[in-house]
This record gives sequence, structure tokens and C-alpha cells, in this order.
Amino acid sequence: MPNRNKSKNNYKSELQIRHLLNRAGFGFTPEELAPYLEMGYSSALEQLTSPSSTDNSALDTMLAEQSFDFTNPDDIKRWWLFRMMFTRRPLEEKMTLFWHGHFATSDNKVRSPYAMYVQNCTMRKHAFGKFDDLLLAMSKDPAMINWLDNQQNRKKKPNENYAREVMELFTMGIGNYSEQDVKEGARAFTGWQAKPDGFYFNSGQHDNGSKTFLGRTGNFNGEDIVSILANQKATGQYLARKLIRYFALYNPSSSFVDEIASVYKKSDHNIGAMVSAIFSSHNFSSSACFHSLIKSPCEYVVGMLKTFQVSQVDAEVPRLMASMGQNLFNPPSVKGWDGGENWIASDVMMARFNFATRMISQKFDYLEKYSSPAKIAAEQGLTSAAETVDYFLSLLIENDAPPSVRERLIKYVSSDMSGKPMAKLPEDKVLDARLRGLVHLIMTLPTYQLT
Amino acid sequence: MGKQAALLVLILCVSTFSQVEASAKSRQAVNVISQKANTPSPFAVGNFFSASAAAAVKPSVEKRAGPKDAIGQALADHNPTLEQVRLIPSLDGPQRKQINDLFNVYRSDLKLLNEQLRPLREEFKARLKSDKDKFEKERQDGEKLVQTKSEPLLAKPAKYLTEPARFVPAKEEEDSAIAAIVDKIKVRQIEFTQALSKIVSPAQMLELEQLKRGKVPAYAQ
Amino acid sequence: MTNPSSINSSLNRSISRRDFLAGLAALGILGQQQLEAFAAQVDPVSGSERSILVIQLNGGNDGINTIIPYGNGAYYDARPKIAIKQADVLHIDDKVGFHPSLTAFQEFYKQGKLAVIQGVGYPEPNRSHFRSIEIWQTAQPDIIGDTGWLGRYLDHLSISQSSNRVVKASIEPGKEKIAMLAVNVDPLLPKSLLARKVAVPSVSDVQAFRFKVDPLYQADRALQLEAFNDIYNNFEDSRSVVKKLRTSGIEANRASERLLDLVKGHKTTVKYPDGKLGSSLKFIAQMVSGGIGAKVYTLGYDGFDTHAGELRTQTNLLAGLGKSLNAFQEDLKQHGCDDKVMVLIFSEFGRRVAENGGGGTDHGTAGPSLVLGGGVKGGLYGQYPSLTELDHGDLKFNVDFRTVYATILDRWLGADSREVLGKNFENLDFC
Repeated sequence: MPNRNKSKNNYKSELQIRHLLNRAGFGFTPEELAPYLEMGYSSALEQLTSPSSTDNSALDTMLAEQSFDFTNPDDIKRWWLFRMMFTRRPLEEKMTLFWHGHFATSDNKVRSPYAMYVQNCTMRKHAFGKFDDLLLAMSKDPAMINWLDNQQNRKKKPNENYAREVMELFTMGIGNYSEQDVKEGARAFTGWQAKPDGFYFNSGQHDNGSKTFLGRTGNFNGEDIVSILANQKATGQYLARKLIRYFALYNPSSSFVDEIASVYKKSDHNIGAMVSAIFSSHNFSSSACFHSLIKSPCEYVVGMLKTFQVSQVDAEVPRLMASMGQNLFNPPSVKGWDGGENWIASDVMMARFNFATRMISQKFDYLEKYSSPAKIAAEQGLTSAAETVDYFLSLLIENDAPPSVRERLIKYVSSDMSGKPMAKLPEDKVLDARLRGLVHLIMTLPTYQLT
Repeated sequence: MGKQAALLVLILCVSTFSQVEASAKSRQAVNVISQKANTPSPFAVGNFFSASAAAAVKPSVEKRAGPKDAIGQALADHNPTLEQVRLIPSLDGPQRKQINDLFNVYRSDLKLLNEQLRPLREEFKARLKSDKDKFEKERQDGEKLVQTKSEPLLAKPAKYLTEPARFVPAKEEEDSAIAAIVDKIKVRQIEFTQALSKIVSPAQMLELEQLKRGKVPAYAQ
Repeated sequence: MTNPSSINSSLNRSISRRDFLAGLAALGILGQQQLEAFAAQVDPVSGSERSILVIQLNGGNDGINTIIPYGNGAYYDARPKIAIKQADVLHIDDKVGFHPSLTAFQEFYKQGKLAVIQGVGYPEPNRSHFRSIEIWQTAQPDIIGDTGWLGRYLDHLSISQSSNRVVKASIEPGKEKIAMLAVNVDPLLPKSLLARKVAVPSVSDVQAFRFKVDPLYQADRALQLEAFNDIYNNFEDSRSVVKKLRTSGIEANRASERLLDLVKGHKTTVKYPDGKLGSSLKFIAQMVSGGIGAKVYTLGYDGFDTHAGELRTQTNLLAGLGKSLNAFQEDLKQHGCDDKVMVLIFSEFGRRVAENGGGGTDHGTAGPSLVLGGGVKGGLYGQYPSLTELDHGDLKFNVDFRTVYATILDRWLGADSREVLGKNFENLDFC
């Protein structure tokens, strides 16, 4: 944690930058934070919201040194976690995760890790571009075609699944179309199938007749439907709201939503422009926005690993994330993850607390792949219980806790193993236990669950 | 200058030039990036995790360990699964049908062999346990026997000059019945590999290998 | 936080409630103010103590070899290799009987505690595991539902309970979450429990649900828990998201400690078979007899997708099922709870009439559902589907599965099946 006196920012602007880093990524290592503090907020904002202009070759090199088997369901999860941990373009991964929850496809049914991996790459490719391109790519994506049964969508017996979900969940949202539109939309997507090497248009199965869709008539096929949907006002509104809820606030004002929806229109459906607009909005930098969202399991886990500069993606991490309610590549349904309060049911809270324990446990110190609080304390030259508590409260939750918490934690750190108060920081084993316990307790705080 | 020396100089110049060019390019690239972002790269040059001792360790991904026992390791099937083979883009219809049939037969054969193996392993485990218990009992009886002798001994009994007997568990992989089935399974695995190679060409298997390594079709790049 | 007037009105509601709260306060578990807020949510389920346990046999259990039509020659014609011999079948009547592994079920049947509902399915059957499970779990064959039938039941339950409350404490109206209304005893939540208002915990391993500390410093656990509780109880923050997190954290800890106590304190002479099914049922028995008040328990039992080697696989699986449920019923009986739990056993589809070339069967359609418990009126319900008049080689259903659900909802749980299922389904007479 860089010495605040050295930074040219005051504490408030440092908080703003940390807030920005948390929302535009998955947390940060102390080394990542320093240069952003140095740059100042507006440069940091520009840097983070233009991921394509940041060199990510270091990640590519690291990836090449691992050996992933992309036909293995565990490996694709580890691969993505590795990316989230070591990418130089945090917003790119955050956005890919957004699309994964939006065009939610589950390997539970698709049963092809490779297809899920390709879908993930497709999402990353179009993450910040024109929405129409992404929507079209998803309509042709083999995993998606399989997931929403479009393989079975044929001229004589149409399958409405994709047409329905594309309107209800991927573009306009419910209430903006009729059942007839679903039927006609399905006809337009007939013959849109998948083969092992990708999308395949089975013209023999395609319904070439005239369709009436959302008030327009013509011999529409899937591309036309995509274009019509992307140009609907409701789509801009729906996407704007969803993006704001993901990056900024759970209950945005309708004016904020309108603001971002208008960016959708003016920028010709450019997602990057919308995201930049959200981050640049005064709604984002207001104090009401700070620590107002609940961390998804992904943010919780990856954030924790980054804070302690863990070098290894432990084999169990994907499974533990799943026990917190977010199983990568396996969303519970095509609705994706509802997020928000849904992340904090009582059993998953315990899963979070116990993940923190795992993080802080002695047994992961082997090979120095995990850091330890005692090491950090020594590096930072902390010599009293109060200093130690303050340091970790600042590092982990930006001091977002009532004063009673600080006091209670100091009391905890200053007790010996039987609970009696000690005069000074203890040596060795007791210190180690106390510091691990301190960090664990901070990571179980309500405000540690916030981003 | 001799021919060889001239060649050497030429090579040196070329390599130096390309190095210079390369570093110029990378400097350019950095400059371009910086100019685009209006700031220098935010990440510490060299090791990304420069401060902590954990930085000494390169980023890595831990995989789940495979079976630890000898039998489990021997039985590891290096053949691809049906799901994996299906991914090969260039397979044609007849090939796919042959592959399906081949896998069906293979799977049911393996199932049968595994069903023969399982009771053998269970019996072995039971025998091992009873042998171990017997050994323990004998050892304890032996010790009791020694303790009851109260006469002083002129010389230490020969028994104590050597290491006390230790229980040496029999090895599963050396049990003849088990080894026989394990061999049959391995033979079947090899037969399958050969049969598969008659349907799927090496170039096609290479396609699968590339997919496993993460090759992405053009539309997703 | 809570305003004083609401505390008074909650105290005035009933004497027993005040005693209850005072009792907890005396134990020093939570401070008085926090207690009001918390207790407003953790009201013990009043009224009926009935609950259901839903066991899903994953993979598509072969119903024809479970409830065997041994009196029908067509059975032996269709399955030369895998039909069960007449002499081995455990008779129900002169036409049908149980698979030989299900001795416990035959015993339950004789005691009148087991209802066998024949030919259960739904129109336009889907033979995909994924979709068919979804249909059974959402009870919505016509659309892709996003809530489960049990989830909707729990949502209605939580609404009707909260409307009986005078005060809502510091929780937003309509957003109450009642602790332990249901427990899923599997690592992943089945879609049947997806609800809009109620979050059902998945506790497959009560030890994993325990507040853990560094294994090398176990002695520190008590101190950490003390600090945790102090911090959470005194965490003053006006943000609603923080309040929710507080509640969730307190609930998590409290539920965890409660469950651990239940498990420790449960005494039984019953021995459950080894394996996940046995240990899960044991855990459920502990929760039922320990009185956590849950209305719904769910459990899955894997392995029924018998495309090959069916005889051996199904024999083992059904033996496990029979033995485990036998132990479960015995355990409940010892604790006087066997008439409080109704067990519904189903599978996402049955299998084809004819055997395939691999000593197994392929995905089919209708199959039997079983309902077990003290509150059941045992017997045969529905009709055994014809083995010869088939739908593309598969059995035709005659009992819509939603009828089974409706019966349980209306007659056992006292709920309104129409609200949960979306329309009226008649009730069968098995309870």
C-alpha cells in the first residue's frame, strides 16, 4: 500500500480511484494501484475505459506458459480466472463476464467446454463494439444455438426458444413484443444451425416466407431480426439499465438510464461509449455510489487473490466460487445471475467466510505461493495493534466500517490465546494467529462484501 | 577480410540491426500506446508482482492431481473421449458414424473389464487388511513372549541383532489376477488407439490437438 | 434501526412471543434491539409441522423394472435379457410387484405407508434430461419457467406468514427472508427451489457450513466467533445494502451453529447405509427431529441413466434407496416424527419398453412416482400404462405429474395448489 503522503492526491481522490478500479475490474494489487494514483483520476478513467489501447502481451506470454486443455470443463474455468487475475485490461474481462451473464449459456446442457470457450472469445472480441455485431455473433454461436435449441428450429416445425429469449432477455425485455412476434421471429431463425466448425445456414430448413415482425413485414431472416431488434428504443433502455446496474447502481434514476440509452443511440449502438459514459457520469463518482454494490463471487474471489498477490490459481477455486453461487460457464438459467442481494443468501455467506479462511490459512504457505499477513506487517513496519488494524482496514475495505469495529478488532489483536489483553504486539506464533484472524475477520465484515 | 569473417560480420550486423529495429519497434509501440492513452504504461516493468516475496513464484495454474495408486495410474486412458473427437471439424458423415460405433463397442468392453476388476481389487484389499491384522497380532504376541522371559541373557538373542520385522504390504499391481485384467485393459486401450487411427487421419488428430490448446476459429478472434 | 414504537407493538402481540424473545435475550445471543429485527424474520413456523422431502432419481429411472408388470407377458417379450424373473418380484398384487431390491418398500406398502402412482408424466414428453428435469422442477411444460414449483410454494408461504405480522422491523416490506423454510441437501440448488423471495440454503455438508478458522489455530475459533458476533451486533450503518448483509451474516452464523448442535445432539440407534444418500437422509432426520421447522427438503440420487448394464446398476441403486429410506423412516419413528414428513420420489422420465442392444434401455416417458410416509394412504394409484399401445415405443402417461404436486400441496401442506401451479389440477387420494 503506497504511502499516502507520496501520492499527489488527497484521500478523497484516492478513494475515487480505488472505487474506479474496483468497478472497472476485479480489485487490484498494490503495484497496480500505485501508477493509477500517480496518473490521477481522469487519466486513470481514460486508461481503464480504453482497454484495446493497453498492451496485454504480458498476459498472452503468461498464458502460453500454462497448459490448458480447452476440452476440459475445469480448465476453461481456470483459464478465465487466470485471465481475470493477470490481465492488464481489467475492464475487458469484466465486460466479458457481463456478456456471459447476459447471453447466459450453460455448459450443463451444451456439454462442450470447447464451444463455451469459443463463445467466451467471441464475447471478448465484441465486448465494446457495436451491439448489433455482438448480437449477430451470438445468434450464430454454436454453443448458443445448442443451448436455446435453435438446432431444432426447422421450417415445418419451428422452435421458438431462441426467438423468445432474444427478445425477452437479450434485447428489449418483456412487454415489448407479442407472442406472434415470437412465432414470426422463430421462423426467421429457422435453419440457423451449428456444425463442428461453426455456424451453418441450412437453407433447406429455412422458412423463406414473408414474416411480420414488430410491425414490419418482409422475408426476414435472422440478420434482419438482429438489425430490427438492435434498433429498438427498448433495447437501448434495457441495455442501459443492465449496464448501470452492473457497474454503478442497483436502482438508477430514470434520468441516468435515459442518459445512457441516448448514448446507445447517438453512438450507433456502441457499448464502449455507453460504458465510458457510465463511468464518467456524476452518478458514478457520487458518494452514494461508493460501496453500493455487492461483490459477485467472481469479484470477491479474484479481488482477494489480487490483494494478497497470490500467484497461483488453486485447483479448487472454481468449485468454491460455484458454492458461492457463481459457477463460471454454468449460469443457473438463461437469465444469468440476478446478482445483488441474491449473492448473499445465508449458505453462500458462509461459503464466502470460509473462502477467506482458506485464503488466510497456514497450509497454503507452501512454496510461497500465498502471502501472509505477518510478512505484510513486517514489510510495512507495523508495530502496534492499532497500526496493524488501521493498515488492514484501509487495505481491505477503505476504512468503510463504524468506529466500534476498529475498536473491537484492536481488542481482538491485542488478546493472547486465552482472550486476555496483551501490552504489545506478540511474537511469532501468536502474532501469526492474530494477524490471520484479523484479516479473516475483516474479510467477513458486511462492508468487505461491497464494491 | 576473409570470406568467413565477412560473413560473420554480415551476420552480426544483420542481427544487431534487427535487434535495434526490434527495440525501436517496441519503443515505438510503447510510445504509440502511451500516446494513445496519454500516459506511460501503468504496470511495473519486469515482474508484475515486484514487492512481495510471492513475486519469486511465477503465476501458474494448479491442476487436480490424477490417481495416486499404481493401478489407477496404469489404467489412465490416454485415448480421447467421444466428445473430444466429435469436435474435429473436418470429419465427414461416414467417419462420424464409424467413430460412434467404435466408441460404443469400446465403452461397453471397458465396462465389462472394469466389472471384472472391481471384485478382484476388493478381495485384495480385504486380504491385505487381514494379513496386516494377523501380522500385528503376531508381533504383539511375540513381544509379550520376550517380556515374560526373566532370566538375564548372556548374549543378545540373534533376533535383536537385525531390524525388527516390518509389515511389507503386498502390492496390488503384483497380484497376478489383478495384473492380468489390468493388462487386458491396457491392451484394449491400445487396440482402440489403433482402430481410431484407421478412421481418423493424423492431420485430423492434430486438428483436435490444436483445439485442445485453444485454437479459436477466425470468427471468434 | 428499529424504532421504539414498533418494538412495543411487537411485544404486545402475544405473551409467548415476548417470553420467547426474552429467553433469547437472556441467553445473551443478541442484543434486545437486534433481537427484534432478527426475530421478526425468524418466526418459528406456526401451525402444522408437516414437511415434504423430494427425492429426485437422476438420469431417468426405469419404472418398468421398478414397479414390474410381471403378470403381463408383453413385459417378458420386450425384455428377454433384462426382465426380472417372476419368482424374484416382490408382489404387490397379482399383476405388479416391486424390484427385488425394494424389500423395504414392500414392507412400507404392507403397512399402508407407500402410495405407488403409476403412469405419471405429462403431454408431449421431452426425452432430454435437462429439459425434462426442468419441466418437473418448474411444473411448466409449456414455457421455460424461471421459478420452481417448490420455490413458488415457499414464496406464497413467506407472504402469508409476513401478512400475519404486526411489525416488519427494519426490513423492507415484501423482502423478508425467513430462515430455514427449506433446506437443499445437495451442493447445487435444484431449479424446483428457485424462488423470487426466499433463498433456500444448500447444505450438503454441515461441516462445510461451519464457520471455519485457520486449521492450525483451532483454539482461536471461540475468540474469533466472539469478535464476529460483537462486530455484527454493533455494526451501525444506515445503508440498506449493509443492513441486508448484516442480517445475512448473522443468519448464516446462527443457522450454522444451530445445525451443528442438531447434528451433535441427535441420538439414534439406527444405522444408515454408507454413501451420500444415507448420510444425507441422516442429516435430514436430524433436522426434522431437531425441529428447525423447514417445510421442504430436497435431495438427488444419481446414476439412473441405464443405457447399458441396467440390471446390475439398478439393483444396486434401488437397494441403496430402499435401505436408506428404511433407516430414515426408522429414525423418524424413534423421534416421533414419522407422520410429519412425506417423501416424494420421482424421476425425470421412465425408459423405453423394449430393451436395447447393450443390456439396458433408452430414454422414455411415463414412469411411477412413489409417495411414502405416515400421512400417506398407501396403495396403487393411476393405471399401469399399456405395454403394447405405445407412443413411438414409449409408455403413455395417465397421471399428470402436477396432479401429484397438487395433492401434496393442497392436502398435505395446506397450500393453494392453484396459486403455485398456475391452474387447477385434481387431487389424487393418496393423502
